[in-house]
Amino acid sequence: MKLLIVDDSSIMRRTIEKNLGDYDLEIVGMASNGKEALEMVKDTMPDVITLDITMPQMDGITCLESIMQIHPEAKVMIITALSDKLTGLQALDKGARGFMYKPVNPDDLTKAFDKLLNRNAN
Amino acid sequence: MRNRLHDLSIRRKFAVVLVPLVLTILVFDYFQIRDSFLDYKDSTRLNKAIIVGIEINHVVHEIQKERGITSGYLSAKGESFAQELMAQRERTDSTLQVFYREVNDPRLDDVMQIHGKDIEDLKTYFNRLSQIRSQVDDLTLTPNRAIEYFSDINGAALNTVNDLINETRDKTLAQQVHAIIYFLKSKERTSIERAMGTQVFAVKRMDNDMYNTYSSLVSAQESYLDAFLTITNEESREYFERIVKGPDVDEARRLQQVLLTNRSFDEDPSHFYNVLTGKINSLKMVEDFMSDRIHNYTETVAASANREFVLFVVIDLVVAIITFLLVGSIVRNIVSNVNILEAFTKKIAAGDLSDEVHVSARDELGHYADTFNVMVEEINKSHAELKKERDQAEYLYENIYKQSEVVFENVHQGIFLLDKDFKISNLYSRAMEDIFEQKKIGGENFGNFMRPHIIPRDLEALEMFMKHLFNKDMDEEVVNQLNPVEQVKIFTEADGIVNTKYIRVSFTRIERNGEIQSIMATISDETESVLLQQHLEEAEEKKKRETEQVLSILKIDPAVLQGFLHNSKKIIKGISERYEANKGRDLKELMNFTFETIHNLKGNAMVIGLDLMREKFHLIEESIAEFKEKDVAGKDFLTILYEIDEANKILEDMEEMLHKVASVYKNLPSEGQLVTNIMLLDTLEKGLEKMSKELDKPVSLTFKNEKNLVIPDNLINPFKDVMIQLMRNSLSHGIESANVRVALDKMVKGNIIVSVDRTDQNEMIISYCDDGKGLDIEEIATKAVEREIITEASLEDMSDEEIARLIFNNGFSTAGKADDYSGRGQGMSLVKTIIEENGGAFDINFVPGQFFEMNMRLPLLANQNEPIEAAS
Repeated sequence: MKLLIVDDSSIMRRTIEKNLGDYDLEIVGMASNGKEALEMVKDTMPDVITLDITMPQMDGITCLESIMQIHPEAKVMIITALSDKLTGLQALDKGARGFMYKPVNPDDLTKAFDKLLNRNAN
Repeated sequence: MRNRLHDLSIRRKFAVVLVPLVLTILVFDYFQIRDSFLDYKDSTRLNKAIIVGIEINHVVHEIQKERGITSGYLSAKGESFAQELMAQRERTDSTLQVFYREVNDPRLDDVMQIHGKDIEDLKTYFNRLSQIRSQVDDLTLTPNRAIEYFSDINGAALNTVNDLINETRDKTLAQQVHAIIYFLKSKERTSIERAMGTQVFAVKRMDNDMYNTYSSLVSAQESYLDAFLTITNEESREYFERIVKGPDVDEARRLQQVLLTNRSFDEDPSHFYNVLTGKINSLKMVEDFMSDRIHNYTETVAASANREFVLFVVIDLVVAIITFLLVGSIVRNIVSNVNILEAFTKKIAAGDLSDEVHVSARDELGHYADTFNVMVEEINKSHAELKKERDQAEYLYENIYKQSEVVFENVHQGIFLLDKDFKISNLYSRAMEDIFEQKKIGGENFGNFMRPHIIPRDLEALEMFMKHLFNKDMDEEVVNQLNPVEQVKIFTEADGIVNTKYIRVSFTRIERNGEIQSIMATISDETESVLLQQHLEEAEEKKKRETEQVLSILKIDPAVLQGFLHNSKKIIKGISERYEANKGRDLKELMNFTFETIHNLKGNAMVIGLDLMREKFHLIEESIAEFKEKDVAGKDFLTILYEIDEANKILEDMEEMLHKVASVYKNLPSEGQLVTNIMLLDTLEKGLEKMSKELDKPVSLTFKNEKNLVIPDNLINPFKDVMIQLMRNSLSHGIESANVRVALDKMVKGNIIVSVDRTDQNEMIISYCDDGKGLDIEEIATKAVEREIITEASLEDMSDEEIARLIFNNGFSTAGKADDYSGRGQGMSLVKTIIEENGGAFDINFVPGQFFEMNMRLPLLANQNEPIEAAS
């Protein structure tokens, strides 16, 4: 499966990359803002996307809306430091299937991937 | 009709079936019985008729004899047979008498009822006898005529006998009756034969007419006898053949042949008469035998008919009684069993299942009863099952539902279920009402319910959150991470009082068959723990402050600190005294005074490195500055005084702590005063360093203490305060910034030199010098005029030094902006005040662009050379 990582922090991008677990995920791109992410989604049509909310140029929620229009089957997991619950719920409303808070610890990340992929496989 | 038949009771149904049957049997029996009765009556009547017939026959027999004798008598013209005739007439009359007596017997009434007329007719024939006899006596009759007359009587008599016995229902009897009639007719012909033969032999001739009569008589006699022998029974025939034989019979046949051959008639008429009479007597015996047999037979038949009749009646009665008894018993049994079953079913219908039904009969009703019992047993079993289940249900209710209700009543958490429409279940824990101070929560939409309690943004999030909770495509844990009411501040109102609470709400999906059926929500009141948390945070803060205080105290010279605390308290006390004294007067002036004092205290705190107090005083200063901008009102002072009082409390706390710490210092091996001075210098250095860093002006402090002078207690604070103000002034106004200094070809780092010395006149000489830009006389003059400290006119008469000293005037400031270090012009005036308060004097010296110098002299008191006391 193809994975796109969208986060403005390079440390974060690397953390996700390192903790993919046993999943056969091929990283097809890493974007540091929403606009870049949208271009990559159009080009690569990834199966799984990890998406930050607070990013320059285009924020995660706007980006998510556009992603869902281009590629509604994508399984999007929000990874954010934003503690506002309403924003998180809005992300679920727009079509996100996973959610986790930063800072991310490797175990939680693996668990979140478990859920995201198993649940949708059913 | 059929329905009406079906609706009849069982008893009547039996009656409907049995009554026609019984009636049919009875009718049938009636005919049978009547038949037997008629047979009996017939036989009885016949029996009696035979008796009459026999009597008639007896008479006939005698008349036959009389006829024969009369014939002989007449033929002999009265010459013979006269005696015989008389005797015979008596016998004939006596048998007639018997006959008459017999027919008058009342036992024969029933026979006489039927045959009375025949008998009466017969009697008239018999009455002719006397007329015939008289004609015979007169000899006026021919023998043939006499025979004819007698034969008429006998013919009538035999016809009567025939009539009497000829009517019978019994075939055997009828046959015998016919036989005897034939026999009697034959016997009559024999008797006539006797009369004719006797006559013929008496006259010894026979004419043709007579012959013809005789031959036809013999032929008839033979024919009747043949008929008799043909139809009579074996017994009579045998009797006849046994009796009617012998010499008389043979002789009679010979004489008959004689007569029929019609040749000689020499035979004796008496012989003929006797032979024939012998034969007729034997015939009479046969007649009597047969009469007797018929009479006996009729008696037997009557008796048997009678027996049959009685038997039928008895059997019928017995059968009828038995039938009624049996049918009655069976019907009673069936009806009673049906009644038992009916009563039992009614009992069952009424719900009483305690009994069994007992029907002794092993018929269908018995089977019904067994079936009923099985049925009742089954019903009872089912009842028992139901009862068991009901008991179990009750047990479950008692032990589980009630327990959960008890739990719901007593649990401290709010527990309830949310349905798909987000409605709160009607069953919820009691704690819900306590938490929200609200009754009847069930049935309301949870979002609406929370609306008055939480902020709109949280409410919007909550509604969105609940929607996702019920979306089974969403992972429960993922959704729960976004629970907006995980911990939320709510506002409840009870009796007009608004309370603030902190609650924690958690949600758990309740799934059944892979569908989310409802959501269980638990709410706990976290107010206490949140408040505790806040309290702990405050306590932490306080502890941190105290630690800071302790640390501050530890790093500051106890003497310096003690002086600072003492001095600060005294100054603060001065403020409130001034306030009391100044009440109602110039508030603005009072405000200025307060500001100056606090500013001074702030500077002091900063110099000795007591950040805590510096911050506190700075805050007060800010507050006063705010009020200074506008018209001051009395109540504004309250706020400030309150804050000042708070600062005072901190000072007191620190003083207490200092005393504790001081006891530690006291035990140190080195001399207290020296330590104090080292720490004072250290404090000043640190203060300068801090100011230098914050104003971005590098500077160093050089402290020269030629005589190793220990600054006495009473001068530590004035010394320190003066130094702080001077250093602040140097950094703010004197020493240039680094790039300016480089441009002026000065050392990048500014330099401040402080020297302390002592004169013989017990004076302490303090010299302060910086290598900054010195004083700008023009600028000072301009500012002083601007701030209305002097008039422009008076400037004309003033020397440069006099103008320079204007910087010590209250309200003078050369910096545009107030900050921690420069202040608002109070700095230098404070220096002057302190020096003067301590009885000292000073002068200043400067070269513009080169340096600024200030030399001070402060008097030393003799008794102020001792170290501070821990207990003071």
